[in-house]
Amino acid sequence: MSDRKGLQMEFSYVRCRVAETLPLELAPGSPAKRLRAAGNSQSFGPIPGRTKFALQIQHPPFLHNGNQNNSIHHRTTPPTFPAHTFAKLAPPTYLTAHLTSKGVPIRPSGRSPTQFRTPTCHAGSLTHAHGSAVVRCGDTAGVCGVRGEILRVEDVADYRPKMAEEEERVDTEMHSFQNVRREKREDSEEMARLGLLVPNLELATGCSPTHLPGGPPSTLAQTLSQRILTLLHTSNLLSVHDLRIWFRPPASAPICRGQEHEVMREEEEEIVKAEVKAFWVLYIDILFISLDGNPFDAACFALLAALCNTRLPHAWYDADRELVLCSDDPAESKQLHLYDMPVPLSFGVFEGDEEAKGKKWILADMDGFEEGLCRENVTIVVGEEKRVVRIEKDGGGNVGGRDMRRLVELAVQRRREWVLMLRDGPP
Amino acid sequence: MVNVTLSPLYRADGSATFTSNGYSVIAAVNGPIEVQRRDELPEEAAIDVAIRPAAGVGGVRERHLESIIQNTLRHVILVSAHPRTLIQITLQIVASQDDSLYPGNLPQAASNVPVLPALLQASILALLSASIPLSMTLTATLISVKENGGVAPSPSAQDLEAATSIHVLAFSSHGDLLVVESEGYFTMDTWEKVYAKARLICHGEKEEDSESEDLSMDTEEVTKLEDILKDAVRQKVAAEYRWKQSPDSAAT
Amino acid sequence: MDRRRVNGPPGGTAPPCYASTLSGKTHPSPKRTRGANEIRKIFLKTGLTPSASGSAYFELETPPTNYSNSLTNRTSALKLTCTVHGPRPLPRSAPFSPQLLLSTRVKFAPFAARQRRSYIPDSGERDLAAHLETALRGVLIGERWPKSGVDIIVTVLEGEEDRPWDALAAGNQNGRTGGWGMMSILSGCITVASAAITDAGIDCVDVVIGGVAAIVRQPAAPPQLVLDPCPSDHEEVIAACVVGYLQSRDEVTETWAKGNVTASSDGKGTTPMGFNALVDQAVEAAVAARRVLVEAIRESTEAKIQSSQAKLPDKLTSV
Repeated sequence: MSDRKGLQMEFSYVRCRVAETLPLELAPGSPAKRLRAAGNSQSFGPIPGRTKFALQIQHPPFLHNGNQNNSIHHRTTPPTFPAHTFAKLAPPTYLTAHLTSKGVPIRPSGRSPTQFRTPTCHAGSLTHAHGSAVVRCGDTAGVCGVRGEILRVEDVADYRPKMAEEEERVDTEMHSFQNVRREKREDSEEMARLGLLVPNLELATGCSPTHLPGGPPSTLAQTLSQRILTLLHTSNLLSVHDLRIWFRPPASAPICRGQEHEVMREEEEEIVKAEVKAFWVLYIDILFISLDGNPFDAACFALLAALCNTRLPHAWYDADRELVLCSDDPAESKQLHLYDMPVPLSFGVFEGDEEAKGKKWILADMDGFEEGLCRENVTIVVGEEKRVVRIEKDGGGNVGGRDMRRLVELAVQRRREWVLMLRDGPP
Repeated sequence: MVNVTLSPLYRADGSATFTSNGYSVIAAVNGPIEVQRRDELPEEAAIDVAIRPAAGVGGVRERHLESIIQNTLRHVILVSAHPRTLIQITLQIVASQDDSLYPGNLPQAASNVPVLPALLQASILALLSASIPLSMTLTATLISVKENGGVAPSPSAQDLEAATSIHVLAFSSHGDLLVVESEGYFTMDTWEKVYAKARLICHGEKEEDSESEDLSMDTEEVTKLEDILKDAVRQKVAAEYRWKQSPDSAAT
Repeated sequence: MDRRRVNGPPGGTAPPCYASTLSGKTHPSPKRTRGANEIRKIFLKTGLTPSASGSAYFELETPPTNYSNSLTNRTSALKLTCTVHGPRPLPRSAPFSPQLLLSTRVKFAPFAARQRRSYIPDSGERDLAAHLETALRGVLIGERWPKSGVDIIVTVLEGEEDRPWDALAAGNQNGRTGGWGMMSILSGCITVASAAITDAGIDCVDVVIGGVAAIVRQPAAPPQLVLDPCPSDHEEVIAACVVGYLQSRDEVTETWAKGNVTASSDGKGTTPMGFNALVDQAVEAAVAARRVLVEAIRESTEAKIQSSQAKLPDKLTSV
C-alpha cells in the first residue's frame, strides 16, 4: 500500500505536465463516452491520442455522478483518476509512471521488474487422472491432468524394435555427459516418432474475456501446445524406458522395469528374450481456469507438478489373452521418473510511452496488463547444472546477446525455487 | 549455397524464393489490402502469415512458426504507415530436410526450428519485392552444436541429427538480435560462441568487445548473408532498369 | 485428426485394462453411508477468475472409498468451475433484443471421466447447456439489459460415474441405463452458475439452486427415495429428477426427470413413489444446498466490501 501512495504523486505529476500543454479542442461529450466504452470492455486497447484523455482529467462529468459527496472537493481542485481507470485509459503512461517512480522501478502489481510470482500448487486432486495438479501463479490458474493410455506395438505403422541398440548401450559403460546426451536424444526421438507425449492446452474456458469457448483453439493456444510439446521432447524430462510395457516369457520372474539401470544390467539375458509389446502414451491436458498473463510458465509449472504426481499402474503383456493388463494395486504402481526439471522464465520488454524514448525495461513473469504492452518476448528454460534447454525470443531487438546471460541467471534462480517446491512440497 | 530469386510470381504484389542448406521456401506478399473488420487494427497494419508445409496440411507446428514470424515482422515492417489495412504473407515450404530426418511420416513432435531461417529470409525478400516500407531488414541463420562442442554453421541433416543443440538466430540490419530459437542442452558459453558466429555470418562484424579469437581466422571465407541479399536485390534492380542504361535494348 | 491440436498416435490408444476386472475379482462396490435425506457436503467459492465478471468453483466431498487399496475402486467427486462474462453489448450486426441474451456452455475436461473425453463438443454437453439455460433464463431480470448478452461457461473438471470399472470393462451393463451422473452434474451446474451470476452482480429475482432426488433399489429390497444420489453407490437407479428451485418464490424453473417412475410405485412401501414425490424430494435437496450458496455469497460480499473500504482512500485522491 505504501508504494501505491507514492505512485499517486507520480500520476498527478504526469497529469499536470500533460494538461499544461493541451489544446482544448474536443467536444465535451465525447471523452466521457470514450471512457465508458473503456470501462465496459476489458480488451480495450491503448487510447490513441494523449490529448484526448488529458481533457477528461480536466472535466470528468462521470466522476461527479459517481461520488456525490466529493463533488465540491473535486470542483475546487482538479480530481485525479482512480488508478485502475488511469491504467485503462493510458496503459503505457501508467506503466511508465510506475517504472520511473522515484528511481526505484516498481510494477503496478508491486513487484520489481525482475521479480517473478511464486506459484502455489495442489497435486493429486483429480480421481480419473494418473497425475494431476491445480496451480495458481498470481491470478493465472490452471489444472493439468496426466492420463496414461496404452499403445500396442501392432498399432504402430512400421515399428522397428530397438533391441540391438539397447544391448550395445548397456554394454558400453561409458556414462560421460556426451553419451548420456546421445542416449537421451535417441530416447526422445523414439518418443517423438511414436507420439507418446500428447500435451494440449485449452484456453477456451472463459479464463479471460478474450478466450471464450466456441470455435477452434486460438492461435495462442496452438502455439503454447506446440511449445510445450517441443519442450517435452528437447529436455530430457521423461525417458521412453519408463513408458515401455514388456512381455517376458513365463520362465523369468516379472520384475519391475523402470529407471533402475542396475536391475537392467543384472537381468541382461532376460532382456534379450523379452520384448516390448506396448507403450504408455501420456495425454497431458492443461486447462486454464483463470488467465492473467504468462500462460507458458504457469502451464509448465502445472505440467511439472502433475508429472511429479503421476503414478502409472504396473502393466504387463498377457500372452494368453493377447492383452496388455494392468494391476489395480496402488502399491504396485510406479512413480513416473523425471530426469530433469526444465523450468521456464518468460520476460517482456517494455519500451515506455512516447516520452520515454530509448528506454527499456525487462519485466519478468508479466501479468496480463503488462503483456498487452510488451511486444518483445523472451523465454528461457533452464535444466540442471545451469544448462539451458531453450531460448526463445521474438518481436523486437532490445534484448541482445549480452543481456542473455543475466536473464539465464534469473531463470536459474527461479529453478532453484521451483525444484524445492516440486520435490519437497506437500505431496 | 544460398540461392535467391526475386519476384518469381506475377500475380502477387511481391514474391521471392530463398534456398539454402536444403531448405527452400517460396513467399508471396499481398498488401496493403483491405482488412476484415474483425482483424482491423485502428493504428497499424494487421499482418497475416500463413505457412504451407512441403507435404500435407499445416497444423500446430505451422501455427507456432507463423506466430514467431508475425511477431518479428510486426517489428520490421513500418506498420503504422498503413493503418487499418492488411499485409498478407504466404510462405510455401518447397523442400526441407525433414524427409531425410524422419523417413515416412513426419511426427508432430519433430522440431520445427530448422526451417525458420529460410521462412524469415523468404518473407523479408518478398516484402522488399512488394515495396512494403520496412524499418530494417533482417538476416537469419541456422547453427548446430556438435557433441564435441564445435559450432557447425549450415548443418546438414546428419549434423542436425547428431547435434546436442540447434540454434536459429536472426539479426536486423542494425545488428540487433531479433529472433532466437535455441533448443537442446547447452551452456551459456556455448550459446555466446554460437551468437558470435551467427552475428558474423549474418551481419559480418563482431560486437565491439567480444573476445572470441577462434572465430577471427575464418572471417575471410564467410560472405556475410546481408551482402548476398543486397547483391540479389541489386542485380534485380539493375535488370529491371536495363532499358534506362542502354537505349538499344529499349528500342527493340 | 484435429489439425489444431496435438494428436495422439495415429494407430489409436486404449485405456488401461485392469486384470482384476477380467478375473471377476470384484471389490465391494461403494455403499451409500449417509441417510436417505442427507446431501453430500458442498464446497463453493466465488471469484476464482478475476478477469471475468463473475466466477465460482463447486466441489462435492470426496468419498472415503478413494483411499482404498484398488485403483479401480475410486469414485469421483463432482468438480465444476463457472465463469460469467458480461453483460456486454451485443455486436452491431446482431438484431435488436429488448432483453439480456443468455448463452450457456458446458464443457467436460478431457480428464473429467474414466474414458478420456474429446475436445470436440458432444450431445451430452449440449443437453446440459440447454437445461442450464432454461434453469437460469427465468431468474435473470433480463429487461434491465436491452441489447446486451451474457456468456455463462461451466467447465466440468470431474464428473460423476454410473458404473464401477468391472462392469465397464466387461461391457456388461446389468440392466443399468447410463447417464445418471448427468443429473448430479446438471444440479451442480445450476448451483455454480447461480453463484457466479451473483458474483457478477447481475440482477436476479432469487438465487436458483439445483437439487437431485432419485428412486433407487438395492437387490432384494424395496425401492427407496434418496436425495442427492451418487450413482455408483447404488445397484440400480430407477428414476431421477433434477430441479432448479427458487426458494423465496417457491418456484421451479427447470425439471429434468429420467427413468421409469410408475414402475417403482408398487404401492407396497409406506412412502409414495410417484413423480410428485420425486420432485418434492429434489426440491428438498435444493433447499439443503441453498444454505451453502447463501453462505458463500455472504462471505464473498463481505470480502468485497472490506477490500473496497480499504481501497477507498486510494481511489479518491486529489492533488
